[in-house]
Amino acid sequence: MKLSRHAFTRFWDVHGWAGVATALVLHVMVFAGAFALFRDELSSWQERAPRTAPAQPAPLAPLVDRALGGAQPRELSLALPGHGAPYLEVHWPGGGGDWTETHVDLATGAVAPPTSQLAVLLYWLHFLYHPRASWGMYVAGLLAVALLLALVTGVLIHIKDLARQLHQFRPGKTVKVLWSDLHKVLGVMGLPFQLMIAFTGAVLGLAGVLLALLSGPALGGDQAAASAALWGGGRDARPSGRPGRALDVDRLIARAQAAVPGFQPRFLGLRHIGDAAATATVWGELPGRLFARGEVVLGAVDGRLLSESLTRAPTPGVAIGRWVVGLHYALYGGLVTRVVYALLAAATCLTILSGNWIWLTRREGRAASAGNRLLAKLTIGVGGGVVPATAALFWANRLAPASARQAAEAWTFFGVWALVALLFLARASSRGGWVGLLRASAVAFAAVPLLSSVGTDAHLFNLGRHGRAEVLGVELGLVLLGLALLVTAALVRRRGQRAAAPVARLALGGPGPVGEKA
Amino acid sequence: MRLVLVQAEALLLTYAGFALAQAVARGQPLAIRLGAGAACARALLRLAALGLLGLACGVLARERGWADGGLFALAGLVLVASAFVPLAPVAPRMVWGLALAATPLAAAAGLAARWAT
Repeated sequence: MKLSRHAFTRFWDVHGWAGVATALVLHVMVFAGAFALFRDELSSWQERAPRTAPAQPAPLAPLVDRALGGAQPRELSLALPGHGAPYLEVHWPGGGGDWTETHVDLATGAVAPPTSQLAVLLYWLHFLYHPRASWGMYVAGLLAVALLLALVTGVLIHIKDLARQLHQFRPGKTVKVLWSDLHKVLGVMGLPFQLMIAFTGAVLGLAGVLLALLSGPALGGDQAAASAALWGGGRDARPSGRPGRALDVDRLIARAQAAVPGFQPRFLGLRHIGDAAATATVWGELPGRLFARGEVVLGAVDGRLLSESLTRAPTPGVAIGRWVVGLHYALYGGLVTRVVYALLAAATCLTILSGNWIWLTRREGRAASAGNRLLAKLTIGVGGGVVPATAALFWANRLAPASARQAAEAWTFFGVWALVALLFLARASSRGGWVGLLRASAVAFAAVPLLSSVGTDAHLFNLGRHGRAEVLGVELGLVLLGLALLVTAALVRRRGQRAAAPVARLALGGPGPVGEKA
Repeated sequence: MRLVLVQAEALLLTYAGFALAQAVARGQPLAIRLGAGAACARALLRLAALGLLGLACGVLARERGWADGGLFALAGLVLVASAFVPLAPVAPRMVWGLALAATPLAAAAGLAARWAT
C-alpha cells in the first residue's frame, strides 16, 4: 500500500508536530510509569523503619480506633496490610478537604504518619496528577491521545516499507541514519505496547471527562448512574438521615470474603459513617482469574451484600474498565510482567526522544534558529534531567531526617530537575551532555544500596536478617538500572565521537551545540 | 518462584523463535547452510520459529490460562523484538550466541519449574 504524495506529506507533518509538541512530557510520563509499576514495592522500601508482620493476623478494628485517636470521621479509607506493607494505612478527611493519613504498625500498634512520598510522587507524575490539581490527569489523557495520533500517522507514513523496519538497523552509518533506524525499529517493534499504553492511558485519563459528557445525553444528567455504569455500584449511595452503627472493619472484611469465596481484600472504604445507610466498599482481587479486580459493596450497618463486581461485571463499562486498568498497569503475570513492561517503557522513552533528534537533524540547515536550539536544549535538559532527578529523589529518601523527609524529597526531585534543565539551557554541552548526565545518574542509582546500608536497618547487604524481598528487589533493580545507564553512556560516547553534524554532536553529548561555540 | 521460572522459559523460547525467524530473514550463515539441505528447508525453519513462539505461549497457557499466557507471550515477543533488532548489529556474538543457547536454557528453566513450588 502506498499513500498519495499529498496524504504522505500531511501524515508526516501531523506525526512530526504531534510528536515534537508532546515528546518531552510523554517521555517523563512513560519514564515515571516504569517506576509506578513497582509502587507497592517502593511504598514498602521508602519507609526506613523495619516493620514486621506478626505471626498471627491481628484484629484491625482496635488499630483503626488507635489511628483515629478519638476522631469520628464520616468517611474512612483503609489500605489493608499485605503486598509488601506490614502495616495498616488509615485515611480520613480532615478540615479543609485535606485527608489525614497515618500508618499503624501491626506488631506494636504504634501509630505514625507516613514519612516518605517517593512512591506516590513517581506514581502521580506518571499521569500528571496532584490532589490540588487533579485536572492534570485530563492533560495526561490528552497527551495520550496525541501519542495515539503520532503512532497511527507513524504507521501510515511507513506502511509502504513496514516489513523492512522489522530488521533494518544500521549502527555503522551516520548518526542521522542511526536515529532514524532506532526510531523506526523501536517504534515498529514496540507498536503493540505503545498502542496499548496510549489507548488505555487516554481512556484512564479522560474517563472523568467522558463520564461528565455522556451522563447528559445517555442518563439524563444523572452523574451517580453514570459513575455506577463505569466504575460499579455503591459509590454514590445517599445517606438516609437515620442514625446507625457500622459493624467493625474485621466483620465487614469477613462478610466480603464470605460473599465472594477466594476474595483477597486490599482496601476498605466506609461512607456515611453513623448513618443507617452507611456503605462499606471492600476492594480487592480474586486470584486465578484474569483482571478479576473489583469491589464487594456491603451495607455497613447490617453487613448485607449490595453488589459485587468480581465474579461478574455488572455493566459493560466495568468489564472494559477492568481490562483497561489491567493492561495498563500489568495486573497479570506477576513481577516478571512488570519487569517486561518497565523495559518496554525504557524502549518507548528512547523512541520518543529519538523522534526529537530526527526532527532536529532533518532541520540541520535551520538548526541555529531559536526554536530548534531551544528544543535541543530542552530535550537534554528536561528529557534527560528527569533521570538524575529521580536518582536524587532516592538519595533524599535515604538522607533526609524523617520529620522533613516528604518535603525534602519533593524539593530535591524538582530542584535537581530544574537545575539540570537550567544548566543545559545555559550551555547545552555542559558536563559532557548526555554522556555526563547518564554517568552521573548511573553512579547515583547504583549507590543507593550503599546509602541504605549506612542509614537504615533493612538493606541489600543484610537481607538474611530482615528477609524483606521488596528491599532486595528495589535495591537490586536500582543497581541494574545504574549499570544499564553506564552501558548506554558508553555507547553514546562512542557514537558521539564519530558524529560530524553539530546537532548530532549536541544530542549525543559531544562539543559544539547548535548555535553555540564549541 | 515456579511462575518466574515458567515465564523465563517462555521468554527464552520466544527469543529462540524470534532469532530463528530473523536468521532466515537476514540470511545468517547457519540458516543458509541448513536451508541449502532441501528445497523446503527455509519454510521448515520458519515453521520451527513459529513453533517455538507457539510453545512459549503454550507453556504459559498451561500455567496461567490462555488469556493470561497469551498476553504475557505477546508482551515478551514485543520486548524480545525491540531488544534483538537494535542489539544484533551492535553485539552480534552475544545476541546470536544467546540465540543458540536459548532453547537448552529454556528446557533447563522448564525442568527447574517442575521441581519448584
